[in-house]
Amino acid sequence: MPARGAFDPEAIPELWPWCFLIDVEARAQGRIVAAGSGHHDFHGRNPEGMSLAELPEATLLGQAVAFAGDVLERKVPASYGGNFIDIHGRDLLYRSILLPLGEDRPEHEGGRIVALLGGANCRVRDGSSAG
Amino acid sequence: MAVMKIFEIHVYRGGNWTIDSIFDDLDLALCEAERMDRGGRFSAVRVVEETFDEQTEKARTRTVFRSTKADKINAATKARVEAPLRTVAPPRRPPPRRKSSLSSQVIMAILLLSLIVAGGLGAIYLINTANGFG
Repeated sequence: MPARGAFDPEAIPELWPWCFLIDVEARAQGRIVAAGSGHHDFHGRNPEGMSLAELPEATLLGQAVAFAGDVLERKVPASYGGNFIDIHGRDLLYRSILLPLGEDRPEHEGGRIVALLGGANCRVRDGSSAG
Repeated sequence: MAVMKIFEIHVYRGGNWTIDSIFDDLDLALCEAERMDRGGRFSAVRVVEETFDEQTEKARTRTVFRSTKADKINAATKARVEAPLRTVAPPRRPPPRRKSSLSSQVIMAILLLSLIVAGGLGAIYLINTANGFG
């Protein structure tokens, strides 16, 4: 499992606008700690600091984090997609992925997950891109 | 109640199959599994479809893709075996000599001995005859 400290948003400038980082350590209890500009624009606000429970289901981030529990349980990356009607009434087709990140210095192989790196993008189903 | 379906990519390393990643889309899972297989990092890659029926609460799994080096080796071996034989025929060996039977060898030996004895007797007769004239 890649270490959280090894992740650098500046290393993926083309992808980062649609990525986000979730802190899943006990203190944070699943909280967005960083999000690309695409998610700022799409949500009309900066989602940083919001807990997973606070993210509306009818948003791209809300859909993207819906299976975070599976990733935490299985400790493997997972990609889900589908369509949903967002808070603006648009029919969106989306694809998302969550990748577990571990401790910087794990005590043992396959150690504890401390963060989830996510990516999600979507388009309106009539064919025009929402992003 | 719905039937949920996910596709797990499994990789074989260290003598064990482990889950590498999970997808809800077969095409994506196959694409990623084939990419991983081409990468050669793992000795085997497979995609397992996991179906969960929420009504019956029963799960079912089946392998929908598998690619291993062993499979490739087996396929190559099978292809070689099934290919038509085009090897050059070995040179024809001369037919083995027929061994003469024991009876014919004995007859030949008796004839030869008879010839020698007759020759010897003839020679003695001629010597004696020649002496008688002398």
